[in-house]
Amino acid sequence: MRGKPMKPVPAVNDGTAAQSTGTLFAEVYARLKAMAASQLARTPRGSTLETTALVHELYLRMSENRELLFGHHARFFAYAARAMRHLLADRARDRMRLRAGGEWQRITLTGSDQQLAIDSAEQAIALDTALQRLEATDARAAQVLELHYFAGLTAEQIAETLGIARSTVDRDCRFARVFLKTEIDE
Amino acid sequence: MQTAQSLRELFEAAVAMPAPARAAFLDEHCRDAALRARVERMLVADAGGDALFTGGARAAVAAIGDADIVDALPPGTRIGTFELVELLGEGGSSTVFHARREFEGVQQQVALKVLRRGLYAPEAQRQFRRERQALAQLRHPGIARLIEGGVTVDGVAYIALDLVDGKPIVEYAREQRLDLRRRLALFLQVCQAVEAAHRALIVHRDLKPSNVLVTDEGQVKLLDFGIAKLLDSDDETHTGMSAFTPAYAAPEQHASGLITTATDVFALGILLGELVTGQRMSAGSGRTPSSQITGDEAPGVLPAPPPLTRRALRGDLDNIVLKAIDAEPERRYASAGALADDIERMLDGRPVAAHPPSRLYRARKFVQRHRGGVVSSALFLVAILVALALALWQADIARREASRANLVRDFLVRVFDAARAELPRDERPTPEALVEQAQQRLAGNSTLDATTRGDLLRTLGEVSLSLSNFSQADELFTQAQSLAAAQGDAASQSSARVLHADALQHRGRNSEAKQEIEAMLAALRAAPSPVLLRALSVLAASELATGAPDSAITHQREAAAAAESIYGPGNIEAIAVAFEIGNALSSAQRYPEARASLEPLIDRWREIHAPEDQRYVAALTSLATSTDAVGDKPGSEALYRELLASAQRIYKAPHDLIAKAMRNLALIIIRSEKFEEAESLLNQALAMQRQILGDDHQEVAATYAAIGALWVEQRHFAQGDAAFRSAIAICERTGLREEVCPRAHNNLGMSFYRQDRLDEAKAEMTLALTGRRALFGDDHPTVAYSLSTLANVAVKQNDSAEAIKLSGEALAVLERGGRGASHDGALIRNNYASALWHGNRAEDALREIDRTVSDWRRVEPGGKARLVSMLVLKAQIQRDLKRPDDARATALEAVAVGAPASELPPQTKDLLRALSGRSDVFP
Repeated sequence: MRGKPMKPVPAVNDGTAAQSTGTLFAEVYARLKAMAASQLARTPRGSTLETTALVHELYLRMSENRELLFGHHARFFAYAARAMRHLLADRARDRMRLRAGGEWQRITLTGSDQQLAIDSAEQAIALDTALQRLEATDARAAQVLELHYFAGLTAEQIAETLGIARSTVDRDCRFARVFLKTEIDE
Repeated sequence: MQTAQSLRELFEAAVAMPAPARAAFLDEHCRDAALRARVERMLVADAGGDALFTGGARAAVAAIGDADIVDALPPGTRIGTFELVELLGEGGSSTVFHARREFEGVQQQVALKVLRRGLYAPEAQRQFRRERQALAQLRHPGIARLIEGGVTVDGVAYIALDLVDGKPIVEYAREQRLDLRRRLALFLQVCQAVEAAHRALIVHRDLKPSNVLVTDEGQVKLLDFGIAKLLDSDDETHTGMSAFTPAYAAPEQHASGLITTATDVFALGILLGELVTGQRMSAGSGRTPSSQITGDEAPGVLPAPPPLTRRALRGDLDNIVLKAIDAEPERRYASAGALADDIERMLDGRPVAAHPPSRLYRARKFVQRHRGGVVSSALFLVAILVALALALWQADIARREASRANLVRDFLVRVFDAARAELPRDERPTPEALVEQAQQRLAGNSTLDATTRGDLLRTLGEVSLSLSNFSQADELFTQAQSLAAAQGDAASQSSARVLHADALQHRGRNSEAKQEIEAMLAALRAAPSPVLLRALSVLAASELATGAPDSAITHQREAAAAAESIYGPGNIEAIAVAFEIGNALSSAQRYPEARASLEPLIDRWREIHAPEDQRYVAALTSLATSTDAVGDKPGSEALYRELLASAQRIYKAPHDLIAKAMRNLALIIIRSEKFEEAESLLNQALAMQRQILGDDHQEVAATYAAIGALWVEQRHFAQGDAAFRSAIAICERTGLREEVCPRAHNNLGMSFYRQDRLDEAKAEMTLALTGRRALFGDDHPTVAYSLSTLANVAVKQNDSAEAIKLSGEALAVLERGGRGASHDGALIRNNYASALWHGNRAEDALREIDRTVSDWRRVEPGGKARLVSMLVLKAQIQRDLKRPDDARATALEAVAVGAPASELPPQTKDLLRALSGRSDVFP
């Protein structure tokens, strides 16, 4: 997770590895986080993040400002998906902390929602850990899943972004899903 | 074999088989029990549902909810050394508690801010601590102190601040019913605190009334300095995508641009506007604080009753606020301190630095924004037009109700938006069409009141005037005039009438224009206003055009005095009007006076850093012309260099006006024989003009003519003649009827003359003469020059009768134009005297040369070399009249002039030695 040394996002079809991956990631992450925060500040409490919208808005803003230091938009989406993944994990940790605190100052969720929230938070953290294992086994499958799940890219978009066949994306995705499911169920 | 097969390969192979075949496949290929179990579980999972991934991360985020860790912090919770007492408020990314602790035996009360999101990553926690340390250094009586901050072991980030007991500044001002001066004094305290923080390189980022408290003692306390950044602790990029309050946020914060101290200056401007009007300024509307006062304000909201407040704000304070909230950070005050200084200047009654952005600045910005299109001349015209409309709107703001000015601007912007649309070049409307379109829209517009419609008619008329579409301008001003008459609006009527006279003057109907203005002058003089200034300038222009330069200058002087009383001495507008005196003196060829008038004004303009606008450039051009005309070569060269530098600063190359400035400088330095530099300048100018204007433009022809002059001056006649012919070819191809065409013929003729190709010279010069007469009429000075050069040819052809006739005619032309005793008049009279002498009319020649010498001494006291040659001619005439003593005396007088020997041709020196009878002169 974020505390551990960051694993470089796999290079995507793109020979220019000029800037250090750490700096690029930090930038995307900071931006996404700030955008998420300001989006939340604008909307009533308890409302949710539009993850896909956020990623795409960030992409537009960064390319508009010609700040897009990525050689290829594929790299941008790789970083953005990774950043969303961390945002989700942080949020899950906040939720788990609340449960650990034990006391609910305000009723923001109904009883069944509370349970769902906590289960979802646990699952999100488990998913993050499982994804790390998948990366060790099959880095590309892990990335395909990340792009789909966290950045909201369709299979076609992923195929185009990574420069691989659509059928390969489908196979990667299928494998990644069963790998993660069996990993989490263990 | 089985080791070679990975989990994925096994799964994919098995899943592709019918279910019954799978067991046998795994038996064969997967002996490892754990691996096999995993594959089997995967096959089951593959067949099962997909709940885990349904909806993507979005669904997971929704299910987890917006978890706020502060929800787990009831009163009594300990955070660090503090104990929470009660919830004070919630911000976008943090929650504020009242908290307390025992500290060195004392109960300490603090405001404790807790970040709503946990900080789990070590680097995020480190960053938070770094920022906190920087803020802890910030100590100022006007800033709530940061006492402590940190991250608890379980990821809760917090900061403890002074707990301030005070009221938000706007509320305080209202409750205390503070007058304007006291409100400003309070605001100065705010600026000082912000300035102190800026010196420590800390930007607030979220200044707003609720962060600016005033205690019961009247002490300002700023809350949350730099907190916005601290709370956004992952943001190492220093850009603006952090927490801010939209209504107070600078444009660069919305656009995630660079956050600087100017961001706080912006928020201070919004705060100042709210403090003095009780209403939050809406940035970007261009509305002034004074125009936001509705008159319905509750008691205490305004520093004084509405009309008084409006009057007190209008002008300086309006300008100060607008400067602080300019959309472009670099146009704002450089610092909170500079903003405070300007307010203090205003309180002291001294002139403030803030003034509405200059017309030129607007124009430049417009052109910059549309840089891609500037090379296409059609769009460039539109750009100028829009810039002009903005400039007029600006002028309006200065003297009219801002709200009305806004209506005018909005209307024009709507019309001109059409031109900015992405139309193909040949489908873009011409400026004339735009004006017409605006005129039609105006006719069908019922939402605008009559006064505003009148304003618009006048504005559109001004646009037409600037496009040299004088009949359209005439029509618009006439409409404006009758509208104002129908309304019984005497002020608007007289303003429209003056503008109408201006249009008449531009159409060459000078005496009508003059009559119109003279009929109104008495009434206008009774209450000096910008309309009077315009009237006097129209009057002066028509007087200059009708050969009454002296009264033109008198009227310009009157205008300058009136401008001083309207705008105050030293004001930019007042100086700009005073420039016109110098311009008129220069047009009247009163060059030494023009210089004396312009030099101090131009110095003053630079001292106050007034913009390099067209008025400045025009004045500098007059000064350069005058300096050149009085024979100050180094001085005029320096000025022409400055004009070029100025054009290069104002415009982006390639630009027509840069090319022109290059050509003018080249023409000046040719005379100092700096041929190489002149050649390079002219080549650059030519390339630029051909790029922007195309090959067949009069400016290209003019530059070819200048190149011709360069070569002829170096006696490279073939190249010179070729250049002149290029200029002439453009004239012939395009049917151009401009001054440059006869000039090219005349200069080609002069080149032939110097090559002794006299018949060809005469042919070209005759073409030039015909062209000039057709263009300017018989009495134009250039007609006299043409006649005079033809006379020179006749002299060389020994046709004295023709020479006398031609130079006599030339002189008569100048005399009719009141220029018989001018610089040019003296030179032509010199030729006339010479022709008479060659025609054996020595007595007449002597009379004319005497007049020549006395005129020349008066208009050109420094023109020594020329004076010597005139005296030599006089001595020769006297010798032929058998008056040797007089001839000798005249020759000695010529020697005594003291012209440097190097400036005199050898022939002249020989003659002087012979005529004076002294072989020791000019050895």
